[in-house]
Amino acid sequence: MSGDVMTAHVADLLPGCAAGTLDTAERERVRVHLPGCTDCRAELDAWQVIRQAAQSAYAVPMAADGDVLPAVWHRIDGIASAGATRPDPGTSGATTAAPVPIASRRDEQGRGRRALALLATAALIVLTLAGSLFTVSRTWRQQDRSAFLPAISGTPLKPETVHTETLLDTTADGLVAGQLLVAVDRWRLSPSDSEVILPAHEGAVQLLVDSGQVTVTVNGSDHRLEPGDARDVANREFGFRASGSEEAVAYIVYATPRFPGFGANRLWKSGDPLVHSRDKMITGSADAFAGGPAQLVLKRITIPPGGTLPPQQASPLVWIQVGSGELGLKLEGDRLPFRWKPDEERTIFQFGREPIPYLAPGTTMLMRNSGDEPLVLYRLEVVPDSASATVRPEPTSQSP
Amino acid sequence: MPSGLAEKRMEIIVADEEWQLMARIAAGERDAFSELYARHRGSLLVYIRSLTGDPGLAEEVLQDTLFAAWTGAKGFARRSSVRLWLLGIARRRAYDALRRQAKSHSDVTVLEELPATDPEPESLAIVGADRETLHAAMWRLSPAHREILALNFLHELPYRDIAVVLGVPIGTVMSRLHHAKRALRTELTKEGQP
Repeated sequence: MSGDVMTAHVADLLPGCAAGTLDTAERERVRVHLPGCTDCRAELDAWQVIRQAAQSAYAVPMAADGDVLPAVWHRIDGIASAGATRPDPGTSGATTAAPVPIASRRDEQGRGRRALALLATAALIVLTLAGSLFTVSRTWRQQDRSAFLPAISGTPLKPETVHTETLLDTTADGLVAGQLLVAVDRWRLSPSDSEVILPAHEGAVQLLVDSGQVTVTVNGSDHRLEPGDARDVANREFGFRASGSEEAVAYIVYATPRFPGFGANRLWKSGDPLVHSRDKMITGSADAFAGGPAQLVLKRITIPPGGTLPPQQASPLVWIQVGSGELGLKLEGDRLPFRWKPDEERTIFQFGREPIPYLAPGTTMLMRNSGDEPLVLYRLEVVPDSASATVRPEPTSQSP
Repeated sequence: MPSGLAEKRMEIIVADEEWQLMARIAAGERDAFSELYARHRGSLLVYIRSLTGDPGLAEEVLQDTLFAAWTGAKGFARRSSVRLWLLGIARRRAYDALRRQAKSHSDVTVLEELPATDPEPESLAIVGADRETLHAAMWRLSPAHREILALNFLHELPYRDIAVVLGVPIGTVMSRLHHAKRALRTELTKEGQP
């Protein structure tokens, strides 16, 4: 590292650093420069304040009645019936149909409905808080983890057979009917007094520790968790940090009707981007979820090079993503994704920004490790209580 | 495989999947358009609101954006991800709407020739501001400054993607971010903050 790089200020990188969007080389520049520069450290503090302010000011959740699609179809159908052609969207003024003023219509009609919805939401939150138990549970480990590298890399040592670890298997109470958003985030935490603070989420939120020691702070109380521990952190703001002498890895598993940000965006209220980093492992959703209690099951499946899994049926309540390695995926079924041929194998890589396309229920997935390194898959399943007796396809140990 | 290369290949796969979705939309498949809408509506609405500052106007602009996406799907040139393409459409529509409502935005380009690589003195004032004052000041920023803060901190786009959405060089993205911070400091000063 040259002296110039050591001494050159990194102010231009600090907004990206606070947002967690720098690439590895940029992040390293900041990491090298910051300890010796109080000016840039103060600058980063300011950007973190701005990040929180921007998120709280601008991240206004979409109202439940904010569906503009029917109005858009109305306009499209109006154009179609008039025989108009498709204009270029980049051309200003290309549209010929005026927007349907749904916002003003809702202003007139929706105030009472919104007030009722707010009351109902408040009541639901109070009931959920009153009914939820703040529990620590030991999660199950079906395989001996001593054969694996620390999960910081997410890549176990080369196994001889397929290994399935159940990272989380817990009952989630009070999931509401309707849209269900699910997510799994992996947090890598360097030892520090600095906490990541996440906002309250409805539904089910579990923090589980994969490696290292993690202290979770809720309502001013600290709770120290060891690898394999999980904690219910739904419906309340909470903080967490690596409290041991080594780096820690923790997963946050969400099953929620909505995120405080927008869409599937998971905002964090505070944290040090040089100490905490997040990988979005799984992001998914299900429409028309029946609601009620359900089992939340997260598994990590490690497949050796050349290994395959038994055929899996796609299900609306199962989400699979690649954690590391290369997944060779073939699909069979009547409703394959667009331009996906039955005999075609595609290679899917890490990380989970939906590299596996949406699959119609019943589509058969044929999965194998098509790379030279172990393939790690994360599989999240929500099992409604009424369906808990249903036989679920499970990956089993199998020689490569 | 180096992680950077793996990420690049993954991006290509994701882009390919959404490009396929766009091909279905171009062919007139409404289910595909509904899927696109479900994926991006929240992100688009937050972005448009950050620009317009008006929830009602934002929903009208969102309609405009979606209508333009449907009608323009055949012209999607695959030069960027679908997300950035949609944000670009939303941006043009939002500024059109602001112009119609005479909510002109200041031209910030003249001030942004030079990237700001040195720390600036307003940091302490921002860190010391109380939450409510800061929140109010964020909304008094110009649309261009609100927009770049939203793209950086809510949409979590890297600089190169912000540059694509705004149609400016990466250096301008960096300098505009710093101008936004300076403008925030100015707004806090008006409120009597330190």
